[in-house]
Amino acid sequence: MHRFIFKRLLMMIPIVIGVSFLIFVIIDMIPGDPGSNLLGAGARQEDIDMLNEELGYNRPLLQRYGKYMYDALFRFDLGKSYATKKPVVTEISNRLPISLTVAFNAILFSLVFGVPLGVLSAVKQNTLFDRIPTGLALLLAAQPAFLIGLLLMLIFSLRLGWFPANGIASWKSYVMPMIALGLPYGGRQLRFTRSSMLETIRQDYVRTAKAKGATARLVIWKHAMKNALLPVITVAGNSFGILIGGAIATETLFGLPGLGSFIVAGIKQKDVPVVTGGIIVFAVVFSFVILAVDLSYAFVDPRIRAKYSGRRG
Amino acid sequence: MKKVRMALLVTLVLMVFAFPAPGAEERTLNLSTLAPLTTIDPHATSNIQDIIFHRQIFEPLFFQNEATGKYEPRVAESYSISDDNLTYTFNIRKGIKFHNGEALKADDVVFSLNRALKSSKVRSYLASVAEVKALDDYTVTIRLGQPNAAFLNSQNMIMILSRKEVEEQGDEFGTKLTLAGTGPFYLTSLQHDVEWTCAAFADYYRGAAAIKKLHYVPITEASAGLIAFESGELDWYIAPIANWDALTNNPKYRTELVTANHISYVAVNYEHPPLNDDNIRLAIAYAIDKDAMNIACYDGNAVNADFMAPPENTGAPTKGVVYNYDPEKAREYVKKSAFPNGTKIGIINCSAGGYFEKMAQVLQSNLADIGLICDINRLDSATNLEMARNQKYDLLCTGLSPYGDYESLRMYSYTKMKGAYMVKYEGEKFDYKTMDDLWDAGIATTDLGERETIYSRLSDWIAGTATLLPIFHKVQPYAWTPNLVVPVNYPNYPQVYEWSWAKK
Repeated sequence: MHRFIFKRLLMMIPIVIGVSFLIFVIIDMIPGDPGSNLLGAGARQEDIDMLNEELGYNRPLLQRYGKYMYDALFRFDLGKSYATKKPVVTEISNRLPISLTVAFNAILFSLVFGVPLGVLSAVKQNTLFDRIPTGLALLLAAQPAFLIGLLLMLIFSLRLGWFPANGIASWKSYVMPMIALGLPYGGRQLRFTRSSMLETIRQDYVRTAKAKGATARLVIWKHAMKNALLPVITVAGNSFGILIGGAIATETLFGLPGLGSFIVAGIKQKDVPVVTGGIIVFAVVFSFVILAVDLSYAFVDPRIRAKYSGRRG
Repeated sequence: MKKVRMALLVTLVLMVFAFPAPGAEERTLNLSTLAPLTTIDPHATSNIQDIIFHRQIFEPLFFQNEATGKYEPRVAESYSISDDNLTYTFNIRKGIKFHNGEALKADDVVFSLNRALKSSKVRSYLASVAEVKALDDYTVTIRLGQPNAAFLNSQNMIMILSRKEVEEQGDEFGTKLTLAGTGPFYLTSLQHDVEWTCAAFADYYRGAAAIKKLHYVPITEASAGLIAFESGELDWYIAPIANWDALTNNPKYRTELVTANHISYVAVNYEHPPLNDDNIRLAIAYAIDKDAMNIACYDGNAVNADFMAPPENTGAPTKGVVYNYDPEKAREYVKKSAFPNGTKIGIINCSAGGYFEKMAQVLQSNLADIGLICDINRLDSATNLEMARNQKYDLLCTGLSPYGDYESLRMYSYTKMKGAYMVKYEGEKFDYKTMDDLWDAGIATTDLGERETIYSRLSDWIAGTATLLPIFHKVQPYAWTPNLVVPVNYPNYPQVYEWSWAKK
């Protein structure tokens, strides 16, 4: 197990180098330069050139990349934002907890909402207990989080005044983003759980358990559920990773200063340190999440646990 | 015993009346900006959302009132100009304190102006400055390299900072809390992209502001902002125009439409055939239905524009060559052109997501009516700007904000300001030297009448090329709660110092 974790951690180094180089090249290919974006329409060319020089943007791409990677790997310095002049590490360390909180709560909400209804839907296949949740799942999965968020704002901020429409003043600020993101993912979780559960309850070992006289509840929760959970964990893990940097519309709507909106703002201004730093952190966090998902298989599935134990032995 | 009780009662009653009810004066004013604050260094930004906030905590030497166009003394209480129009002498107001409690002196003014001269973000406002000198603690002279009638206007953009504060914070200045300003409010907390708060500066030389506490949040999404305003999280708000009627008809709110210091216009790249045909460009100029664009973009609430600057700008022309919607005349020009049966004229570029898209759609339809066919290219704003700067467009729907003087439009056509203009007049097609000379003549004289005459000629010269076609001045839809008193809503920059809470 330790060897497996160590190997996966080592793999992150080429991932970081590859991702950062790709970002440098892609941003360089986008028309324009940070100087003209930051100074806006009507700026004089001499001022644009001066700003690009101050930012070090006039140097060749490989030279800029080399310096960036040296600072990143040996000084843990991801540079300073061209726009705000603040260290990117500080900016990210302020934003990452917000993105993690929103993503974690949204995925938790989606699991609490989607998994029980998915199980119910599979066990009661072709009844109203199946049709209503699957219909609901289809409806929710098709709704953008942005739209759900607006509806939540209208009801819970404007009409009822329960939650603030904007900002991160208290825990209340996170409730609506969590639901707005969690509902569409919950719909997807419901469908995954249902199909995985349907496949599992048709397996021979489930039939055997039933034949041995195990109660329906025991068969479902002890035998079928554990196996049906593997694809659900995979989807939840991937979704969590994506939400950390990808909940841009929701962050914008609720005024959450998260990682996603930070990276997008950086792209718009050709703020290379912001985009590169943001995406490196996103890639590392995503890699950790996927590692955690892989490790969680071992806890759910004894066969995988045995495989890891065998390696160790 | 009775006397003691009575004395206590009287004391209690006096205390109740002597102190205001808790919260009555301390109520916080909640405001929003359309973007997070990038910096609180006023010399390190040209972003309008930053500037809107900076104007509450920093002040220039002289301030140009957007509503009246007049200059009001701030850090300087008076000024004089030398006979050759090259030296401005500013008398610094005595008794001004920075937010850190220290007295403002001429040395801080010299430091601030020299610092601004080194900043790529703001030095263009001081392009004509040759030297800044302190004569004594309260007198500063600024020598210009050449006469600049718009100098007072451009110094209005340069804020005076405490040398000590800036030097102490070094590279971090702009990224953290500072007390380097002299304005009516000082910063009390700062999270650039979450919220920031201010308090009224008790030692402000014009008297402390009536509103004691400000709280700002950035809200980038219009619908979210509207919900925040309607749910009481904001007290004053620049509303989306689409919701204007609903807000205006709601007795819970006060509303006002104010014409912004902004021009939305169409640029035509005369270097791209068939737009090099004068008749095609004139056809385009007459084909544009400004009313239709106004309705599409601002529900008809914007102010149709005849010229490239609002008339409130110093020196702005009010008469001259104007193109108004006349489809018959437009068709006649098409017939007179090398393409009498119409032709494809290329692509309209615009930034995606804003009202410029709607402008482009109306333009496309207007041109199709006279047989000129074009497509629309919606671009992200950075790419659109880059292509516009390099004249990589056929037609362009865009906008700009002059800042109070017609001279501020120079950068959009003056051929010596490379990179700034959208239409490149330098070449064989037009007598661009005449235009450049008119720009130079416009700031060489301080006689306002003479300047107006020069700028009228300049406006006619540019209009004659049918390359920069003014469409409308957009409006700012301001909405606020009735318990807030806002004497004047300004075109671009609110002056919170003038606001107060309504008396109950």
